[in-house]
Amino acid sequence: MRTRLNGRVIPHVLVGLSLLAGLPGRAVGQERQIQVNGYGHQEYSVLDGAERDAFFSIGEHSLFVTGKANDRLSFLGEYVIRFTGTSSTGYLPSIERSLIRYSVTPNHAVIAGKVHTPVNYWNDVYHHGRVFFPVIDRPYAFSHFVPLHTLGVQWQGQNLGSARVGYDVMLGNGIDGTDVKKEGVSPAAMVAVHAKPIDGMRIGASYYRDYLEKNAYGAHAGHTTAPEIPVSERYTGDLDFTLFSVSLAWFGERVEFLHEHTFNNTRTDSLGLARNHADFTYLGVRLGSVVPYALNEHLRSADNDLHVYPLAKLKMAVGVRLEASPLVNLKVQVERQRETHWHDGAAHRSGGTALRMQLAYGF
Amino acid sequence: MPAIGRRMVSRGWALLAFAVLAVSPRSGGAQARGFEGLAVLANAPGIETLSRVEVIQLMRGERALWGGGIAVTVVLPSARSPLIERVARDVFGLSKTGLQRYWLSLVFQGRATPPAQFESAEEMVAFVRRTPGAIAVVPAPVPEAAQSLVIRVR
Repeated sequence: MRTRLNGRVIPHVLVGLSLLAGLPGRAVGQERQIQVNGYGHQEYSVLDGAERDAFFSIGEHSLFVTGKANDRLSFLGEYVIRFTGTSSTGYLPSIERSLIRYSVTPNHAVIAGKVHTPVNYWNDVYHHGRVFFPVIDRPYAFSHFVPLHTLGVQWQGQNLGSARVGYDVMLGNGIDGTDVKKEGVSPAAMVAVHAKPIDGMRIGASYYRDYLEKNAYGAHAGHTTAPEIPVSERYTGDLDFTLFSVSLAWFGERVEFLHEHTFNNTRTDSLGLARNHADFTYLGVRLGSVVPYALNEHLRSADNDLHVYPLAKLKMAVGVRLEASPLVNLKVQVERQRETHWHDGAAHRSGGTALRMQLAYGF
Repeated sequence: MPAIGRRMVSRGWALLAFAVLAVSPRSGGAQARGFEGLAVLANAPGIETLSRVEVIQLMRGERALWGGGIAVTVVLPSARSPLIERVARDVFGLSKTGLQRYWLSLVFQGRATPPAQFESAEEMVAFVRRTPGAIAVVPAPVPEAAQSLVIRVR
């Protein structure tokens, strides 16, 4: 296949990963490695809570681009379009990842750009890739604790020694930053280590620290407060934010397991240290292309927390993942959720049962 | 659910998980895997011998560069190639779909550059011949013209 790009004829494969996954495409070698892939998902949900609703929804769709400039320099970009009620067209585009990677040695690299903060297993491995998700949703911690993106500089090591140890050290615009600016001069800092002692297993731990000048939620966090905290009432002073995460993942040919524990501390002059935490546990059994699974997770933010505000969430679910190919799957999940938040001196409870289906695909 | 109940559920999951891990068969590591009937080809000047572990590490995308600073380009059979089952099993210790999931996930994470893929062994051999840094595992014997690329596996 030959494609004209910017006036130059460049032989390449546009569907390389699709070929690996068995999708239609011509098997042609690549001299310049430029690949474009897409990922997306659609859902159908039946929610039975205070009210009963049943609806279809279209999820995030991302364009995933990789390229190689020379032996040591490579590029990765991920551009996402998602539905939003606030846009005139109904959709909002965003640059989710855009990074240049320079391989310093066979196992060490320097990365510059916007990345998925490698702060826990889920954010490092899946993030937008619903087709890779073992279940339908991200863990609760993503909505409140995990700094989804960081824009900055990263030093990365991989597959060191027989235990295949890896590390990531990063400085950049953190939770209260945007893609073009950050208040103050102190960057967010993180360090993560993991090991893959046997095939299919990954054990990891990470530490993240950020100083939020105005407790802004920024473009990188994806964080929300507990419900019913009006924007005008949110704390806007400075806040120390630290996060420690540990994870154990096992994705073998038969058994799949993931446990992530997230400890989050926030400190303010007014209310002192607040200790928050979240747990996510997944267990699946692979029966060929069918994977029945169960999950359990909970999240609790402390009564004196001023980033999330007091909140407790619990979810238990069972489901099945049907894999038509490595790039197409259907998940059917029955879940039960309970949520409690505290506002105006009173506890407010909600929750319910839901039947959800997600069709996730890559192309 | 009360806090103590949640803790018990969480600890129960963890105990169950460790029990599962303890009885799960390992999906194969880089320790003891043969390449009977297969040949390793690499277009890497100065490299004539590799250990099995090194071959597997390279084929799994665990090293970005050869010693001389040339990028490692992994060459794999495509999904429709009759070779893919054999390479997946004998080199990676995985099923065909397991190999596909492994590489799709690795590239999506940004931790490796995508492999080159071909339907036939002839195309794989030709690609390795013309691409510095390329490595592939193909059925033996290889054509005479590619003999200089054959790596001795110790």
